[in-house]
Amino acid sequence: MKAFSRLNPFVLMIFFAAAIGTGVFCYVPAIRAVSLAGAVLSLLVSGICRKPVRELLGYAGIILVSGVINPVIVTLGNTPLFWLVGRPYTLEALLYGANNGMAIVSALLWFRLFSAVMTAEKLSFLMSGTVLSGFGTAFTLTLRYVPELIRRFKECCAAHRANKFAPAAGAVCGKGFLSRAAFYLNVFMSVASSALESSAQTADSMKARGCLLSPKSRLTTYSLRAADVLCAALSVTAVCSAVFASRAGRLCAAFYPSVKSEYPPVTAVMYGALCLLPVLFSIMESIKWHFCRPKT
Amino acid sequence: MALLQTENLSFAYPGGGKVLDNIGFSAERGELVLICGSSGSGKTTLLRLLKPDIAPFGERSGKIIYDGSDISALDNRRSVGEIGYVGQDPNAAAVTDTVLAELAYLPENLGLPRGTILRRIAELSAYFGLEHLIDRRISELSAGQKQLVQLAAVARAYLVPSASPSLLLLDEPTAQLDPRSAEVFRNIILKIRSELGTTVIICEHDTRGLFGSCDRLLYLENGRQRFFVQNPFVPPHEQCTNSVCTAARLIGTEAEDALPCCYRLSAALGLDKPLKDAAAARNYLLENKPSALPETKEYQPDKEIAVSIKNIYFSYTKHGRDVLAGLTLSIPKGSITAVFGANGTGKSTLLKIISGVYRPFEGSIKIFGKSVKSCCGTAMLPQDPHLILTEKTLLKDIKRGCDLPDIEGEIARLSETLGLSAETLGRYHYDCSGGELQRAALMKLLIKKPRLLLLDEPEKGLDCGNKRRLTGILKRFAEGGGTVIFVTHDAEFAAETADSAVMMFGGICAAHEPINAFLSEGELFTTEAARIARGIIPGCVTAEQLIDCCRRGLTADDE
Repeated sequence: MKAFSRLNPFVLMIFFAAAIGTGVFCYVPAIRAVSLAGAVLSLLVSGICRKPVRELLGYAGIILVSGVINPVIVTLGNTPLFWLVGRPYTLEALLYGANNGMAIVSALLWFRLFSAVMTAEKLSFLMSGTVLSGFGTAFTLTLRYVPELIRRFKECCAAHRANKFAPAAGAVCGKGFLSRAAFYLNVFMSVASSALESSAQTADSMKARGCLLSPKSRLTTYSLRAADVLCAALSVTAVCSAVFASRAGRLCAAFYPSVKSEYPPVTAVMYGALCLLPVLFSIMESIKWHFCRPKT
Repeated sequence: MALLQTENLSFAYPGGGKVLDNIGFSAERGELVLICGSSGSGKTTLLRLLKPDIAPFGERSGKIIYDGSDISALDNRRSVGEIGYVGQDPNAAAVTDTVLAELAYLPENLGLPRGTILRRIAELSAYFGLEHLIDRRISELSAGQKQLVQLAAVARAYLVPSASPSLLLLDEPTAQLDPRSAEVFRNIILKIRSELGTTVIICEHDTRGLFGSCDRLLYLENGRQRFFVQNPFVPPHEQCTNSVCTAARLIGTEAEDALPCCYRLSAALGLDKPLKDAAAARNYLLENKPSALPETKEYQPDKEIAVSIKNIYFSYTKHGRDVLAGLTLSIPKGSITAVFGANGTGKSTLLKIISGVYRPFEGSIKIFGKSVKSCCGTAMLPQDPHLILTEKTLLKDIKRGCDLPDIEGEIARLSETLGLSAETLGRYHYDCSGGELQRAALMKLLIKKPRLLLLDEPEKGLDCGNKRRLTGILKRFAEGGGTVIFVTHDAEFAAETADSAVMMFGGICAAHEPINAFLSEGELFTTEAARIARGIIPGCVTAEQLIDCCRRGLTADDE
């Protein structure tokens, strides 16, 4: 995944926008399946998943739950699988739910890859020199604060549990959902105040190190290489192909009353190639490593 | 001409009284100035006034002269490039997410060319030993490493030419670090001062590490300058002839406990020449034959056991290392036990297991003969007292969940014992000093009348006065039949406070001995006084004991 992460941040941004956007906004199950497969494979080769089987089973659970719940609410569709309290439980509604589940899971997986590849420094590079440069720093800090906030929240809850202040111990707030909610809200407010205190110190640290000065320079620069051009071109072409096919009415899907889906094979192939780009980069990297590694 | 000089400097926050009153001190190029004083004496405000970018808003009078001109006229770029500032909390100071980005942040803001930045970072990372951390995320580093990165990020003037002056302002930079990391940090500061010629102005509660190396010393008390000594170690001088004199001036102040033991001894005995280190102090003891320690009642632990731990195992992950690996320990009722050990040996984990936050996956643990779940009366003070304070005022926090019939009377009694005024109890916890915060958190725990008190590094970041006050509180609690277990790195604090010491190593209890025996035999986890007196005054572990033995020895000689 190193080779893929080395791509120009602008190109990476275009890639993720194309991969996530097409997968989410295109209803065609085949396109969503391609997006999901690409995201799963990319995540597996990236090594981000510490426990891949367990995590993927969890994601499969989301698709399953989405598929199972939809027919309970929606009774449309020609193929009833069985009847539930006088209402049909249809295959089409189940597939519709599963299709939406695929979109959610593939978006989640792509975003996981995005957060691993697009470091705060790359995001900051993207926004430098624009009106968004301040937003870039704020975004970087937010990315850092979220896990810090979660860590602190857990610490705070543990400190309260240790002293039997938490409602789980039943000592202070009594039992019941409302008292627990009040306790966690109280802890959250305290943690938020702590984050504000901490952010005031961060602001001082930024001022002390010249955040208000200009012009600034950048240590990291990213050139545009052939691989960048290729990746950007494939992203743009895949998106254009999907947009044109959709405008022409050839990229569509309907689930009710029966499942119908149409898509041009070229769009699916191009989008598939796009989604597999991180995997292709990894394979190329492995081959290069195999031939270039120092022989001992 | 001095690089930095203040003349009649006074400062008041809007709507408040003066927090600094008539401060006059100076620092030459390449000097180390140590500013000491208790919490709330104005050290941080003074340091921030010396850095125009982060100077507090308020009414300032008097002059601050930097490099020949008033500091308020200093160009922003010069202020950023020449004056570095490192605060107490390395977590809050980090702006970016990786070490490389953090080191690049300042020169990037100055708009330096990429080549210059790269060269500078390459040099800095080698100088500070950060090469192996350069690609790491800041969040993955230890507190000591984070603070070192913060220092490296501002350590050297970035402006060209490099001959421009460089001033480093450090506000209690070692307050949140363990002793080993703090020592590494102090050594780096001394290296920067001597090798790079950087002027360093540092505020510290614990002056032991830098007292012998500073060029000037400023002591503040309630915003006033009690004294400023130039060249304390180069006699003769019109203000002070030598460091003994400087040390003597600190005797009786709240900074006394923070003096190196050898200087305290020199000052207390009125020596002409200071005993500059432990070896010199040992030689003095060998030559002058101090008296033995007076006979004291030996520590007799209560027969009733408060905490009984048998063969417990605990790991944070299923296949990970066992943080506690067969730990067995018995803590008698009414005792104060200090738990020592290097980082990662399971000290804090042990407290969390006793308090019931974690459950061991093997072994048994009984608190006053009952299981952890069914036992009431255990209270735990975390390292950061903010964690158990969630309300808008301390008083609300203390009252929350307390169902005592006479709560007001109990609050009045405890606030007197702990030295907390009604005004302090009406404050928000983020508006309190470190000592007040800790006492308020203790009050929140003590009002529920616990029988077992667990404290995780309670002395961290406290000044000497507050440490002494905490010792008194814990001793009174134990005298009343309570049991205290606290994790610490501070041997001096443990010597004053604890009855016995536990040494953790590899998840087991490597030693459990009376505190005097433990500190007398220890090589690293021991006090300065014990190191000096080892083999000469058996059982001597505190500076007071050492001074007393020497005084009695001298008196006996005279007679």
